[in-house]
Amino acid sequence: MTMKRALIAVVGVGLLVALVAVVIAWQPELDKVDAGRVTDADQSEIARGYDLAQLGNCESCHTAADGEPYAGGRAMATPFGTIYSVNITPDSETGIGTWSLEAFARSMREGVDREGGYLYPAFPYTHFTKMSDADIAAVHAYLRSIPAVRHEAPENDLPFPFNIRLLMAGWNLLFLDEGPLDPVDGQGEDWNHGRYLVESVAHCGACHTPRNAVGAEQSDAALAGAEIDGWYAPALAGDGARGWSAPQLATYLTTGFSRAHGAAAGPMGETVGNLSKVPPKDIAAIATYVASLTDDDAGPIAVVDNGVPDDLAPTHALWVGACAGCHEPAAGSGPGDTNPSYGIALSTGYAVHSPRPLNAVRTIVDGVDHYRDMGGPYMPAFGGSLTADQIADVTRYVRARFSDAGAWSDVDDTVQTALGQKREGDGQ
Amino acid sequence: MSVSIEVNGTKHEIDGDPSMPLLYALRDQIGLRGAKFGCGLGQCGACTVIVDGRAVFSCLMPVSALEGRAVTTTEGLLEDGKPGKVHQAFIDEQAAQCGYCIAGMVMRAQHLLENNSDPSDDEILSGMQTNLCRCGTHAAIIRAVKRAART
Amino acid sequence: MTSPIRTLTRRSLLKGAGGLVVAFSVSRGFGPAAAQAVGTLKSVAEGVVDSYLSIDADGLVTVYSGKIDYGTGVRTGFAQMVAEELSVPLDRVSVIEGDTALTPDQGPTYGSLSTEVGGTAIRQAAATAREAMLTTVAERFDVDKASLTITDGVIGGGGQEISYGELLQGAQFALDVDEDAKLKDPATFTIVGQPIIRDGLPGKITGDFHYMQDFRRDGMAHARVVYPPAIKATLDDVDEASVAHLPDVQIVRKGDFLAVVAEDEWTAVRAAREIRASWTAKESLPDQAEIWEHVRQTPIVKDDVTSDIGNVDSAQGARELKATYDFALHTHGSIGPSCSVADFSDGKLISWSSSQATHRLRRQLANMFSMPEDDIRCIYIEGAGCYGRNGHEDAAADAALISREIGRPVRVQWMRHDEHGFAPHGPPTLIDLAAKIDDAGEVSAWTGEFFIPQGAGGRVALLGATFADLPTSQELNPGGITNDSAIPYRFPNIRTTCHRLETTPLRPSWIRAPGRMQNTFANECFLDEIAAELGVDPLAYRRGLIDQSDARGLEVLDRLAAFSKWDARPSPRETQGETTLTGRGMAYVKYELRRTYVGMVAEVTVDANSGAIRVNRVFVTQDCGQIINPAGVQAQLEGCVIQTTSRTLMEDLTFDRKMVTSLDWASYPIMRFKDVPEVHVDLIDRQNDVPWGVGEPAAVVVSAAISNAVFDAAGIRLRSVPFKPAKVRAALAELRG
Repeated sequence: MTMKRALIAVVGVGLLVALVAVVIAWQPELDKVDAGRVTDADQSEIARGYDLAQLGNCESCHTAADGEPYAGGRAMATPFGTIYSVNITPDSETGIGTWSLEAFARSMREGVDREGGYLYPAFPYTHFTKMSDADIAAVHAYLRSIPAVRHEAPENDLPFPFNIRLLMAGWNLLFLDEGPLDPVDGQGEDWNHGRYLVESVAHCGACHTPRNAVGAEQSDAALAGAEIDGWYAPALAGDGARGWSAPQLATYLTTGFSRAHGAAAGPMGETVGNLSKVPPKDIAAIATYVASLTDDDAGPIAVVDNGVPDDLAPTHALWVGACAGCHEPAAGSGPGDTNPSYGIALSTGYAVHSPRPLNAVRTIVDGVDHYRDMGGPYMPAFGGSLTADQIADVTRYVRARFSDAGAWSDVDDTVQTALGQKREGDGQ
Repeated sequence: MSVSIEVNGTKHEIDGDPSMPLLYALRDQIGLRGAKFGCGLGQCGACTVIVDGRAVFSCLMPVSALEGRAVTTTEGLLEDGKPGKVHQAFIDEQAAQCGYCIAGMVMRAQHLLENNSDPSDDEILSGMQTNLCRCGTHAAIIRAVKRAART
Repeated sequence: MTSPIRTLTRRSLLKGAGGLVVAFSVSRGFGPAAAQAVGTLKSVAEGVVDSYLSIDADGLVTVYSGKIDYGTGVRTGFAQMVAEELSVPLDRVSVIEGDTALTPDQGPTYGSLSTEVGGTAIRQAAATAREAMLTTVAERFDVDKASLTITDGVIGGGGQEISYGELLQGAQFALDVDEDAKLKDPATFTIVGQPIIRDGLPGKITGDFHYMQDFRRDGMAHARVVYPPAIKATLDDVDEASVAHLPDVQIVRKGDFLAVVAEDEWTAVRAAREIRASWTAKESLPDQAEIWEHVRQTPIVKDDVTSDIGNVDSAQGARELKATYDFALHTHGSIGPSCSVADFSDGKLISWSSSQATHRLRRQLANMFSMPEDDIRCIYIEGAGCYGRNGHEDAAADAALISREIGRPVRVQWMRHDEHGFAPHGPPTLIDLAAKIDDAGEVSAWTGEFFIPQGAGGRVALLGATFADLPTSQELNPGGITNDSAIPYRFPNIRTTCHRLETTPLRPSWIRAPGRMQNTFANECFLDEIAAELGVDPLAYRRGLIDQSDARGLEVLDRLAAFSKWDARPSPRETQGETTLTGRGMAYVKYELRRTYVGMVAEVTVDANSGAIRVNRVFVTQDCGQIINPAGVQAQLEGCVIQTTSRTLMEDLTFDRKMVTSLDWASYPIMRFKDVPEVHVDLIDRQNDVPWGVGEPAAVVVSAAISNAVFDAAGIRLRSVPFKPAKVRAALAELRG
């Protein structure tokens, strides 16, 4: 065989493989259905669809800042570029108004849109694929019932080769485990329902499970904790996880606060806002399952207070004037025992013990402002009032005083990043 | 210790506990009454002032964090002793009942308009969202901010 | 600032919204010596002109009012009424409010009575004074009294003229108020009825205004109270070393009363925060999860039958409707926590506070310290708004006690958790309503049972006195809360009974329209339920049920229908399974069945999935008789609607077995800008009638108008305030089955 023939053979085989791949990867366009809102569907199904949409955080990702609900356009920064969520209102032109249940179910189970195009796993179909047919149908019914909004989401900003959607066919072969989830024998109904929700619609792993180099969740490190949007989603299972009792977690998931764990902030704050609208039995199930992932039944957590760090004495004035009113450990007087706004010992929160200062810094910079309407934990943002150096000093102070873990090494950079992500002009 | 801060264009040396929030320096040492104590928790905005162009809760702003920084209070918006633009819009709309929140509202509105001279209705609501009023003066305050934006 | 008399000298003319003018000066006439005096410095007896009014040699008029202005604008209204009656420019009138040494005891400032009762008394005094001066001048000028004219405080006639100041030369009137003194013809009014900028308003905006919280006294210390971590607790131990690192901190401990005193305010704040004290906290409160069972099981001490017409028991009616309504505990939520300054020296006490009832406070302080009332002077200074009796009086007691203990003037500023936790709160209210409907589709019987605390018109025990184990009265004081339990609708058989409860979980107090708000909520919702049952338009139904000779009530309803473009039809609206539901509802009140009429329409959107309610627009038609200041009335109406919308949709005080747990704005959220409804106001002005109150009546119809609009939109009845999304979701789920 000459080199030339060998080359032709290789190219030929390559083309054949590619052709086969394309044939395998090719997905048909599914027929359009009548466009527009459907409002005469079964009300109970729509209502269940609403609950599931809350559990799935659908609105949070599919709504741009100050945009119309579900009309898409929220930017999601990924290591591969920026992806914009799409419009999932029943608009016929820009939304999913022409998607049949079949088309919708295919997107949820296979990550393929009605036209046959591959979706990126920023849309967590690797989880949604585990939903039951009935639940997918309920979400579909709900999304058909909401007001249609004509809004074209921006194009994704992905560099080559990530802009080739067909690549996702290969990705799916490796990482998509299609189909509904089977219950585990020997576990209770509540536990199994919780596992089902966690693994499927609630897609907890999308934030709490670390991802590999090509952006897939690491199956051997499920819910082991991961960085997301400049925050750290703490471990819910494995060595790094702090224990929860099921009632504690249920309270946390619906109020955003647990005296033993602190406040849900950042992306989790948004999630709690959605979960607060979900039926208690779903929350209880999630809590039962997640609590079972750790052995610890989460008794009281030891309060750490190492006192004012010697090398940060000047920072103590910042602490007293800006932080202590709410965070100085309760002195046995005043309202500290009864209200999250007073005397919250920081050592009980996750942020000060985390291996990285992300959550501590982001909380100081952005505050906690997710619960203004429903009531719940609150913290003002200091990103607009304290300087970067002052925020860094307070972060180091908090770590040294309220945690026995060693000093963080990357505080200054983290502060700079967090301030960069805060909108210009924002004060408190 | 002593901290040097500029308030409404005048330098002040603030003595005493460096942890003291700006609010107490303004009220008890400098003698300005505009910023009010409402919650001490950064929740209500009655103490709102502008520091280096940003609206902040003066109740949570230790003076030690303010060395060399410039503070503006509602008194600083007076022009030759007369009501400034935002002041006059609030007066014209009679946008105060008990008025305890109003100096903070004025500063929040000032900050909003400094960053956006032609805010939409939604932007006004978002911009004012931080500050609480208990008397229900919101409607008049919104009218006042719109009036200030027009003038 | 040492003068007890607030001096606000904004005499410059300020351009108003309507192109008109005028802010005016308040207070003058008493020098520094008077500032130190206790007892009574002038006539304060009721029914005597000098109690209400003085005119100095320069012709400057001072009004003395026992009723006070906490941002409502009544001070401005009083000045307008007096300036009008005396024909003097507004900027020559000043007002002194709520000073026991100077002003008559006109009762607490509550019940939307300031203008109707307080203002009318002051106006009558002014008319008496004017008529007396005209009589005197007529004799002096030897002219017919009727021929005299008054221009800017100068009486002229027969080619001569004399000003009030020249005439009186600083003398008192020494006259009883003449109830028959002729009042000025409203047709000639130039000041009453004008949208005058409320006194103090420009200064509130520019930072110039002096609030109670701004008041300082020479030699004054700063104090903070340290209340226990429970409503009922005993103080076991105080660790004095815990505040030793702070400069010059003094600890005041008396019984279970604990306070810290410092030379500067921030040190006092820190000391209160950092002091270590141990308490034995008692679990004195019921389980909040079972609050309504608790209310229902509370012993009844007496029944007040507020209406009893015909015989509800023997009334015939095959169809019976029954509904139970409840209204949560609420807090005042003053934006500025209560504050007081006290100077207790040589056995005499001067107390500065924002008390709405300084004369009553003086009696309480006299009781607390076992001293004569004459040795106490209570002076009102406007503070952050409250809507009834909040913590002002308690802060005054705290300050007085601390001042007595340390022997120098002291300022007490409550912290946010003191205000949210320890100010008295609106009590939980439970109401059962029932109606019988006969075969002709007419209501044959209406029965109302209102479970509300006992007491009224007395005094709320002072916290400081209670903790310090000093004398104080302990009766419950939720306000005149039986009002509006009786209804303005004509059914053949009606009985409404208020079951007065022996106890209520937290110290109760009046908050804006106490009782009337809760009672009207239930009555107006239930009437709407009946209208829906009968399949009739709720506005037309009300119109047919009120006294047909009550032309003012009929006019309010007719104007409301036109003004709001009322969509006349039965509720609920027909829907096609939309998830965003819209509807309109209305409510009506003739306040206390004898005064201000209000009709209100609310337009709402209900998210059928989340249960979130948005109040989009509210239309108010009100007849409050003579309008003294339309800008002030407008502000009150907007405030009534917005504040009560917040209370109705969001507010729910929380507590555990020991203590209030909603101690800040994060745990007790109130409405913010994005959720504020548009308020459209239609005022019926009757310049020839009595001026009725406006601070409360429009508030009482808000909850029912919203509930009825939600029913119209979504077909669910919300009978439990607040209408939080979870309750709405539950009701919707029940409706779906």
